[in-house]
Amino acid sequence: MNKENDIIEDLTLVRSVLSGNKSSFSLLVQKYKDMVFNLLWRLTGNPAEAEDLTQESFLRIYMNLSKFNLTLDLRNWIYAVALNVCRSRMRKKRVFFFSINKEIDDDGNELLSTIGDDNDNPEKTLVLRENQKRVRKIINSLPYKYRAVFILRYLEDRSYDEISQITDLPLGTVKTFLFRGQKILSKRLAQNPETFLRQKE
Amino acid sequence: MKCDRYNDIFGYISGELGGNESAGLEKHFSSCPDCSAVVDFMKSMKEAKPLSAPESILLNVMEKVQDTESVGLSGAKRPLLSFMLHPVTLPIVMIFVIVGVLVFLSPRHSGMTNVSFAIDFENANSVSLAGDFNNWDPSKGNLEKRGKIWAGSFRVQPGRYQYMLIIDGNQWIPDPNAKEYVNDGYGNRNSLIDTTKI
Repeated sequence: MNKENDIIEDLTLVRSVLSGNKSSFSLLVQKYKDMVFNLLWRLTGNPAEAEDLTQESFLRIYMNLSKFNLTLDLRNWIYAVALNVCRSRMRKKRVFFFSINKEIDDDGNELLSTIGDDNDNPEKTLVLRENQKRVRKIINSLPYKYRAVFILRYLEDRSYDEISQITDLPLGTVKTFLFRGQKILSKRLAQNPETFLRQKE
Repeated sequence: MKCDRYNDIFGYISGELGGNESAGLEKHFSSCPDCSAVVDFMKSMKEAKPLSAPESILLNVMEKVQDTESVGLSGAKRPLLSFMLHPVTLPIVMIFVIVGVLVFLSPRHSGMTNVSFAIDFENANSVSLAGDFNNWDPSKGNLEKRGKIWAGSFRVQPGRYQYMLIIDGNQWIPDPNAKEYVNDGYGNRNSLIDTTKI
């Protein structure tokens, strides 16, 4: 769907919900739940937590929909609400919930079971899964504020301006956070080459 | 870490670098293990396919939504949004297709209300709103373009406001989809918005 039609669709959905049609909200949830879930999963590294936070985000979106005033795209506004929900949860739990213990990894594996799986090549599948685990571990080792900006830029492909709007940070701060996150990431990867192995094709 | 060209890598991955720079960097990667590690990492990261959110999310959210009050303004102020989808052709030099002004009302504290406008315009280079709520100053009513949609918000006390649209800085037209119009005393019509009737 091209961008103009997308925006019109969003406005129509919002209008409908604000007019009292709750069922229109289910269309909005359907449209954006994968986006929100993936953002939160990438931020937390924990699919159960991501599911819970996604629900909370949509509830908060529903309750605050009348405050949406078109200065952001609905998409970016939704990112912003999800980020805020995640950050609030983070502050309550002092230790963040990414984990490399067995239970979480097992859950993670279940969800990942179809991603990149090459049924003819179980070894390749295993290597891919291992890579993904390490990628998640390294991203999750970034301080939260750098991690959010990093994910928005390199996984969600948002522009600097959009990230600035979504996070409510000045543009300069967005760039600074990105530089710092990149530096930490690069140093970690250089120091521990064995923590990241990529199967050469 | 021996190499400090890692910042270039991120520019390279986002496609910000030009052809020559990219080629130069690619040459560097093959001989620099530190940079190779970063490139490999970024590539792997981007390989991860997005997951589908569990279906239970929709069910749980809608269950809670059903239990809460409808959002939007309650009681007499519940907004019915004026939004008409038929195109309107105007008898002026440039032909516009106006899909409609979509008006939102959001509650604000201190009695002020937020009125948001969205209008679908082809071919315009700029669209502004001038009216009673901004002293008929188009520079205080510039709408922002996103795709084909021009949008903006204004904080006003509830009430009735006359306004017009200004296209490309010099074409003044009333909103073709306004519910009410008023003669401005100079032979033109102004469009009228009544925030209590939206």
